[in-house]
Amino acid sequence: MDNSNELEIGFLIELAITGEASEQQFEEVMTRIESEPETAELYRQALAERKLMETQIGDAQESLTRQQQQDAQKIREQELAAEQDRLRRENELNQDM
Amino acid sequence: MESLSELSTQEWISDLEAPLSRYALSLGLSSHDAQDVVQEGLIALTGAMDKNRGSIRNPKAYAFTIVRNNANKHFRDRARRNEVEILEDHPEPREDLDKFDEPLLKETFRQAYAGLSESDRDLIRKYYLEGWTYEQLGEELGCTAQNAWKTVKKIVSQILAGEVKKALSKADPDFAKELFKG
Repeated sequence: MDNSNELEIGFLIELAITGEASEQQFEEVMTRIESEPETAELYRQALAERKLMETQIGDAQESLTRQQQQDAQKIREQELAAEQDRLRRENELNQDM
Repeated sequence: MESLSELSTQEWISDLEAPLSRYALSLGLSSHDAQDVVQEGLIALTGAMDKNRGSIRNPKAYAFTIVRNNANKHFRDRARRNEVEILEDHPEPREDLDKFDEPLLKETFRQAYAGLSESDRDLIRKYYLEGWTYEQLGEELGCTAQNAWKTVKKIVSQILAGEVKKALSKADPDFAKELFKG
Protein backbone atom coordinates (compact mmCIF):
# COMPACT_ATOMS: atom_id res chain seq x y z
CA MET A 1 0.00 0.00 0.00
CA ASP A 2 1.60 3.31 -1.00
CA ASN A 3 1.61 6.39 1.20
CA SER A 4 -1.28 8.26 -0.49
CA ASN A 5 -3.41 5.12 -0.51
CA GLU A 6 -2.67 4.60 3.18
CA LEU A 7 -3.63 8.22 3.93
CA GLU A 8 -6.85 7.85 1.99
CA ILE A 9 -7.92 4.63 3.69
CA GLY A 10 -6.68 5.92 7.06
CA PHE A 11 -9.07 8.83 6.82
CA LEU A 12 -11.95 6.61 5.69
CA ILE A 13 -11.27 4.23 8.59
CA GLU A 14 -11.45 7.10 11.05
CA LEU A 15 -14.74 8.24 9.52
CA ALA A 16 -16.11 4.68 9.77
CA ILE A 17 -15.08 4.41 13.41
CA THR A 18 -16.75 7.68 14.39
CA GLY A 19 -19.85 7.17 12.26
CA GLU A 20 -19.06 10.14 10.03
CA ALA A 21 -18.65 7.95 6.95
CA SER A 22 -21.31 7.85 4.25
CA GLU A 23 -22.92 4.48 3.51
CA GLN A 24 -20.63 4.09 0.52
CA GLN A 25 -17.49 4.97 2.46
CA PHE A 26 -18.47 2.63 5.29
CA GLU A 27 -19.08 -0.25 2.91
CA GLU A 28 -15.74 0.42 1.21
CA VAL A 29 -13.89 0.29 4.52
CA MET A 30 -15.62 -2.92 5.59
CA THR A 31 -15.00 -4.57 2.23
CA ARG A 32 -11.35 -3.62 2.29
CA ILE A 33 -10.97 -4.81 5.88
CA GLU A 34 -12.26 -8.20 4.79
CA SER A 35 -10.03 -8.43 1.72
CA GLU A 36 -6.85 -6.51 2.65
CA PRO A 37 -4.87 -7.56 5.73
CA GLU A 38 -3.02 -4.21 5.73
CA THR A 39 -6.32 -2.32 5.95
CA ALA A 40 -7.54 -4.63 8.72
CA GLU A 41 -4.32 -3.84 10.60
CA LEU A 42 -4.77 -0.09 10.12
CA TYR A 43 -8.36 -0.43 11.33
CA ARG A 44 -7.34 -2.27 14.50
CA GLN A 45 -4.62 0.29 15.10
CA ALA A 46 -7.08 3.18 14.67
CA LEU A 47 -9.52 1.50 17.08
CA ALA A 48 -6.77 0.99 19.64
CA GLU A 49 -5.66 4.61 19.31
CA ARG A 50 -9.19 5.88 19.72
CA LYS A 51 -9.84 3.70 22.75
CA LEU A 52 -6.69 4.96 24.43
CA MET A 53 -7.35 8.59 23.61
CA GLU A 54 -10.95 8.41 24.81
CA THR A 55 -9.97 6.83 28.09
CA GLN A 56 -7.06 9.19 28.78
CA ILE A 57 -7.97 12.61 27.39
CA GLY A 58 -10.82 13.18 29.85
CA ASP A 59 -8.60 12.42 32.85
CA ALA A 60 -5.71 14.45 31.46
CA GLN A 61 -7.98 17.44 30.83
CA GLU A 62 -9.55 17.21 34.31
CA SER A 63 -6.15 16.97 35.90
CA LEU A 64 -4.86 19.93 33.91
CA THR A 65 -7.91 22.05 34.80
CA ARG A 66 -7.42 21.15 38.48
CA GLN A 67 -3.75 22.07 38.28
CA GLN A 68 -4.56 25.39 36.59
CA GLN A 69 -7.16 26.16 39.28
CA GLN A 70 -4.67 25.34 42.04
CA ASP A 71 -2.02 27.55 40.40
CA ALA A 72 -4.52 30.41 40.07
CA GLN A 73 -5.57 29.93 43.71
CA LYS A 74 -1.90 29.99 44.83
CA ILE A 75 -1.32 33.24 42.92
CA ARG A 76 -4.45 34.77 44.49
CA GLU A 77 -3.26 33.73 47.96
CA GLN A 78 0.21 35.17 47.32
CA GLU A 79 -1.32 38.43 46.10
CA LEU A 80 -3.61 38.55 49.14
CA ALA A 81 -0.70 37.88 51.52
CA ALA A 82 1.38 40.61 49.82
CA GLU A 83 -1.53 43.05 50.10
CA GLN A 84 -2.06 42.20 53.78
CA ASP A 85 1.65 42.62 54.39
CA ARG A 86 1.62 46.00 52.68
CA LEU A 87 -1.38 47.12 54.75
CA ARG A 88 0.25 45.90 57.96
CA ARG A 89 3.44 47.83 57.21
CA GLU A 90 1.45 50.90 56.29
CA ASN A 91 -0.44 50.60 59.56
CA GLU A 92 2.79 50.24 61.54
CA LEU A 93 4.22 53.32 59.85
CA ASN A 94 1.05 55.28 60.70
CA GLN A 95 1.28 54.19 64.33
CA ASP A 96 4.94 55.20 64.51
CA MET A 97 4.08 58.72 63.29
CA MET B 1 -27.54 0.88 -0.21
CA GLU B 2 -29.87 3.75 -1.14
CA SER B 3 -29.41 7.22 0.25
CA LEU B 4 -31.04 7.63 3.67
CA SER B 5 -33.17 10.50 2.45
CA GLU B 6 -34.84 8.26 -0.17
CA LEU B 7 -36.07 5.77 2.42
CA SER B 8 -38.73 5.86 5.12
CA THR B 9 -37.46 6.11 8.72
CA GLN B 10 -38.29 2.46 9.37
CA GLU B 11 -36.56 1.34 6.19
CA TRP B 12 -33.32 3.15 6.75
CA ILE B 13 -33.23 2.20 10.41
CA SER B 14 -33.40 -1.45 9.41
CA ASP B 15 -30.79 -0.76 6.69
CA LEU B 16 -28.47 0.52 9.40
CA GLU B 17 -28.74 -2.65 11.47
CA ALA B 18 -26.23 -4.76 9.48
CA PRO B 19 -23.42 -2.17 9.26
CA LEU B 20 -24.00 -1.22 12.91
CA SER B 21 -23.74 -4.86 13.93
CA ARG B 22 -20.50 -5.30 12.02
CA TYR B 23 -19.23 -2.13 13.60
CA ALA B 24 -20.15 -3.34 17.11
CA LEU B 25 -18.38 -6.65 16.44
CA SER B 26 -15.34 -4.81 15.15
CA LEU B 27 -15.17 -2.98 18.47
CA GLY B 28 -14.62 -6.34 20.14
CA LEU B 29 -18.09 -7.08 21.52
CA SER B 30 -19.41 -10.62 21.56
CA SER B 31 -22.21 -11.19 19.03
CA HIS B 32 -24.80 -11.25 21.83
CA ASP B 33 -23.59 -7.96 23.29
CA ALA B 34 -23.20 -6.44 19.82
CA GLN B 35 -26.85 -7.26 19.13
CA ASP B 36 -27.92 -5.65 22.42
CA VAL B 37 -25.84 -2.55 21.83
CA VAL B 38 -27.19 -2.14 18.27
CA GLN B 39 -30.79 -2.57 19.41
CA GLU B 40 -30.27 0.00 22.17
CA GLY B 41 -28.74 2.36 19.61
CA LEU B 42 -31.61 1.96 17.16
CA ILE B 43 -34.23 2.41 19.90
CA ALA B 44 -32.48 5.59 21.07
CA LEU B 45 -32.27 6.86 17.51
CA THR B 46 -35.95 6.13 16.79
CA GLY B 47 -36.92 7.80 20.07
CA ALA B 48 -34.85 10.88 19.31
CA MET B 49 -36.20 11.08 15.76
CA ASP B 50 -39.81 10.75 16.96
CA LYS B 51 -39.24 13.44 19.55
CA ASN B 52 -37.63 15.99 17.28
CA ARG B 53 -36.56 14.96 13.80
CA GLY B 54 -34.74 18.22 13.12
CA SER B 55 -32.55 17.91 16.21
CA ILE B 56 -30.38 15.22 14.64
CA ARG B 57 -28.32 16.55 11.78
CA ASN B 58 -26.72 13.25 10.83
CA PRO B 59 -28.81 10.28 12.06
CA LYS B 60 -26.30 7.73 10.80
CA ALA B 61 -23.42 9.36 12.70
CA TYR B 62 -25.73 9.60 15.73
CA ALA B 63 -26.44 5.84 15.58
CA PHE B 64 -22.75 4.95 15.27
CA THR B 65 -21.87 7.25 18.15
CA ILE B 66 -24.51 5.65 20.37
CA VAL B 67 -23.22 2.17 19.49
CA ARG B 68 -19.64 3.19 20.20
CA ASN B 69 -20.56 4.88 23.50
CA ASN B 70 -22.65 1.88 24.56
CA ALA B 71 -19.80 -0.46 23.66
CA ASN B 72 -17.38 1.62 25.72
CA LYS B 73 -19.86 1.62 28.60
CA HIS B 74 -20.09 -2.15 28.30
CA PHE B 75 -16.28 -2.49 28.47
CA ARG B 76 -16.09 -0.14 31.46
CA ASP B 77 -18.86 -2.00 33.33
CA ARG B 78 -17.23 -5.31 32.56
CA ALA B 79 -13.83 -4.05 33.73
CA ARG B 80 -15.41 -2.81 36.96
CA ARG B 81 -17.06 -6.16 37.57
CA ASN B 82 -13.82 -7.94 36.58
CA GLU B 83 -15.82 -10.29 34.43
CA VAL B 84 -14.14 -12.78 32.19
CA GLU B 85 -15.93 -13.06 28.90
CA ILE B 86 -15.55 -15.92 26.47
CA LEU B 87 -15.08 -14.72 22.93
CA GLU B 88 -17.39 -16.17 20.35
CA ASP B 89 -16.61 -16.41 16.68
CA HIS B 90 -14.40 -13.33 16.25
CA PRO B 91 -10.91 -13.86 17.57
CA GLU B 92 -9.93 -10.19 17.60
CA PRO B 93 -7.66 -9.10 20.43
CA ARG B 94 -9.52 -7.51 23.32
CA GLU B 95 -8.22 -4.77 25.55
CA ASP B 96 -9.55 -4.17 29.03
CA LEU B 97 -10.00 -0.53 29.81
CA ASP B 98 -8.98 -1.07 33.43
CA LYS B 99 -5.40 -1.68 32.25
CA PHE B 100 -5.27 1.96 31.25
CA ASP B 101 -5.79 2.97 34.87
CA GLU B 102 -2.07 2.36 35.42
CA PRO B 103 -0.89 5.42 37.45
CA LEU B 104 2.40 5.76 35.52
CA LEU B 105 0.56 5.77 32.21
CA LYS B 106 -2.00 8.29 33.46
CA GLU B 107 0.73 10.59 34.72
CA THR B 108 2.89 10.43 31.58
CA PHE B 109 -0.19 10.91 29.42
CA ARG B 110 -1.21 13.91 31.53
CA GLN B 111 2.27 15.43 31.15
CA ALA B 112 2.28 14.87 27.39
CA TYR B 113 -1.17 16.42 27.12
CA ALA B 114 -0.19 19.40 29.29
CA GLY B 115 2.90 19.86 27.10
CA LEU B 116 0.82 20.52 23.98
CA SER B 117 0.19 24.04 22.79
CA GLU B 118 -3.14 25.54 23.88
CA SER B 119 -4.47 25.39 20.31
CA ASP B 120 -3.50 21.71 19.88
CA ARG B 121 -5.13 20.84 23.22
CA ASP B 122 -8.22 22.74 22.18
CA LEU B 123 -8.45 20.72 18.96
CA ILE B 124 -7.96 17.38 20.68
CA ARG B 125 -10.48 18.30 23.37
CA LYS B 126 -13.07 19.26 20.79
CA TYR B 127 -12.57 16.06 18.87
CA TYR B 128 -12.35 13.48 21.65
CA LEU B 129 -14.38 15.08 24.43
CA GLU B 130 -16.89 17.34 22.74
CA GLY B 131 -17.66 15.09 19.78
CA TRP B 132 -16.82 17.49 16.97
CA THR B 133 -16.62 15.90 13.52
CA TYR B 134 -13.67 16.30 11.16
CA GLU B 135 -15.88 18.40 8.95
CA GLN B 136 -16.55 20.80 11.84
CA LEU B 137 -12.87 20.86 12.79
CA GLY B 138 -12.02 21.57 9.15
CA GLU B 139 -14.43 24.50 9.11
CA GLU B 140 -12.84 25.84 12.29
CA LEU B 141 -9.31 25.43 10.94
CA GLY B 142 -10.15 26.61 7.45
CA CYS B 143 -9.14 23.37 5.76
CA THR B 144 -10.68 20.15 4.48
CA ALA B 145 -11.94 17.41 6.79
CA GLN B 146 -9.08 15.21 5.63
CA ASN B 147 -6.50 17.84 6.54
CA ALA B 148 -8.18 18.27 9.93
CA TRP B 149 -7.76 14.53 10.38
CA LYS B 150 -4.06 14.79 9.48
CA THR B 151 -3.64 17.57 12.05
CA VAL B 152 -5.34 15.52 14.76
CA LYS B 153 -3.23 12.48 13.84
CA LYS B 154 -0.07 14.57 14.13
CA ILE B 155 -1.03 15.80 17.60
CA VAL B 156 -1.97 12.29 18.71
CA SER B 157 1.42 11.00 17.49
CA GLN B 158 3.08 13.76 19.47
CA ILE B 159 1.20 12.70 22.63
CA LEU B 160 1.90 9.02 22.12
CA ALA B 161 5.62 9.42 21.49
CA GLY B 162 8.36 9.05 24.10
CA GLU B 163 7.33 8.52 27.70
CA VAL B 164 3.71 7.57 26.97
CA LYS B 165 4.90 4.87 24.61
CA LYS B 166 7.26 3.53 27.28
CA ALA B 167 4.59 3.67 30.00
CA LEU B 168 2.03 1.96 27.81
CA SER B 169 4.50 -0.74 26.80
CA LYS B 170 5.01 -1.39 30.49
CA ALA B 171 1.33 -1.24 31.47
CA ASP B 172 0.01 -3.29 28.58
CA PRO B 173 2.60 -4.67 26.13
CA ASP B 174 0.03 -6.36 23.88
CA PHE B 175 -1.98 -3.20 23.52
CA ALA B 176 1.18 -1.15 22.88
CA LYS B 177 2.20 -3.63 20.18
CA GLU B 178 -1.21 -3.22 18.58
CA LEU B 179 -1.08 0.55 18.76
CA PHE B 180 2.47 1.18 17.62
CA LYS B 181 2.57 -1.35 14.83
CA GLY B 182 4.29 -0.19 11.66
